Amino acid sequence: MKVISFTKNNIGLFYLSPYVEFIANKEKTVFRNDLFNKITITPPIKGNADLVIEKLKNGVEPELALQFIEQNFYGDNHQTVLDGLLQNGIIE
Amino acid sequence: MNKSIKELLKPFSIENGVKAKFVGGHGFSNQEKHLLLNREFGSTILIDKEHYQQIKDKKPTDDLQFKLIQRGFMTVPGSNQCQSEESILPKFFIIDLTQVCNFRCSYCFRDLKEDTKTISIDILDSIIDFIIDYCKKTNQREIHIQPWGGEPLIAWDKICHIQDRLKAKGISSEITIESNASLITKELAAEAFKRDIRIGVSIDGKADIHNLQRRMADGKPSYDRMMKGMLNLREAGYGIRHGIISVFTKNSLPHLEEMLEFFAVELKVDRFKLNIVKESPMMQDKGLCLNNSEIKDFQLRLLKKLVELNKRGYPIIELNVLDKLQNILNRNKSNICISRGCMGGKKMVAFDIDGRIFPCDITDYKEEAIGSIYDGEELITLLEKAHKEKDFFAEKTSELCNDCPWWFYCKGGCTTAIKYKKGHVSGVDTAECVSNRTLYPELVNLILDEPEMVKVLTKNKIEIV
Repeated sequence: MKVISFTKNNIGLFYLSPYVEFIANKEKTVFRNDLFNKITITPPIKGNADLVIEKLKNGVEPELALQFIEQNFYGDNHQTVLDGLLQNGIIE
Repeated sequence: MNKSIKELLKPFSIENGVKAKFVGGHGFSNQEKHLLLNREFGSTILIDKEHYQQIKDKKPTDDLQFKLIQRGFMTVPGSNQCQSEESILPKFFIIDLTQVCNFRCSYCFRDLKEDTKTISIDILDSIIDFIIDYCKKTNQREIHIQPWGGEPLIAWDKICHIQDRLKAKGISSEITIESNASLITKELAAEAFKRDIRIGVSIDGKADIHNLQRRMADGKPSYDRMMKGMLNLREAGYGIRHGIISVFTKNSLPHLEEMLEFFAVELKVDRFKLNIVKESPMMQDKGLCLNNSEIKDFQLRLLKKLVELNKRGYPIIELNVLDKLQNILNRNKSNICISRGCMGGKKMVAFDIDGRIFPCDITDYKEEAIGSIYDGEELITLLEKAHKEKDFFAEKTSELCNDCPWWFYCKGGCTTAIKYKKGHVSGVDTAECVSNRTLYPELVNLILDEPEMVKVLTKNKIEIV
């Protein structure tokens, strides 16, 4: 797990919250934020889930966040997926 | 490590379209980095000087506000609420298999009378069936079992029986045993390894301290027997992956560094647990307990020595320290016992040899039973009722708790330690309070000054970038 030390260079990026655990399988991806006790279920991740999550731990530009979801999650309604991840504290 | 500066950041509100509220926090600062802590919910955030100043000036940028909202430091209408209450859903079950022990440790808190006995197979089966029924009703397929005693390996056949019976009902159980290791033969070690049973060996240090505190029932020293058992575990396939549990007493205090050298260099273990001795009416020698200044000294020296050993290339960690470090960085409740205050009766329960149910390993204190497997009530029902009625579950607090930054991680400490010491539950676990007030600030210093050590001490689990 990466804990980000925020500076002016990375404060604007989106990261996976350190309070989140996830389980990914072929049917779905389940994220749970322990701080808020919120669960978010998304479509399954394309390819290697660990690699996708690692990218999110390394930070994603907000302008590219929707594209990131489109590239890495199955399903059609990617904006809803992104909104859910933000609203439930999965992404910070 | 330098001492970080601590200050209290007071709540404030800002209005720019929506009303945003900063809930306050404890700030810890070195020259460049700052750690902000929310004492009520245990969340933290690491920020640089510029962003910390924005909070002090009550002018956080939009980007910072978003991060603060997601970490529970700010609220806006409709934002998430932090959660601190743990649900009642036990996953860790202690089964008191036997009161028989072939050791007579000087600090033992158990009531080891001459007429001690081992659980009957009928009662054990009833307990297992009670657990199975609970698991089915709460949809749990993976649980933890700790066979307990006395010396649990005296009832080894019953430990195997528990695992087999649960497995037959489709429930996977992680079985963990804390043993004096004197009964671990090559055959038992091989069987335990085959069954993937975790075994922790009780070692109080080198032979002199170990033998002083952990005599066998016949009065003979136990070190050689323990070492033989531990070597049998290692040769059976555990390698160094067996646990090490030590009880730390006043006898041990002058030898702390020597003890850690022994574990890291001679025994080559990479993790161990060092529990401060708990005062109890049953202990033979009350002079073994540490006073507050000794506890403080112990915690400071422990962390210093761990860092030194890791810098010298010995990758060793003490599990209570690891738990507290993880608590700060991601509220990881890796310790089922007291990661976020006492979890007795919430995440764990214990059964005595007659089928009574307890919130923790206080099975010698029958007044703390919350019921029995024979009551005809479900476990959750019994626990919910007990939470309302019994002092064991009342909030533990003292004047020191009111402004303590470490409240979320402590919550008054170990309830059973209070019960052992006072005979009733009131106030807080003083030893845990002193430990937390000493160790947490030092861990924050480590995070701020030597973040690279976090990766080393957490064995690559957590990296600060």
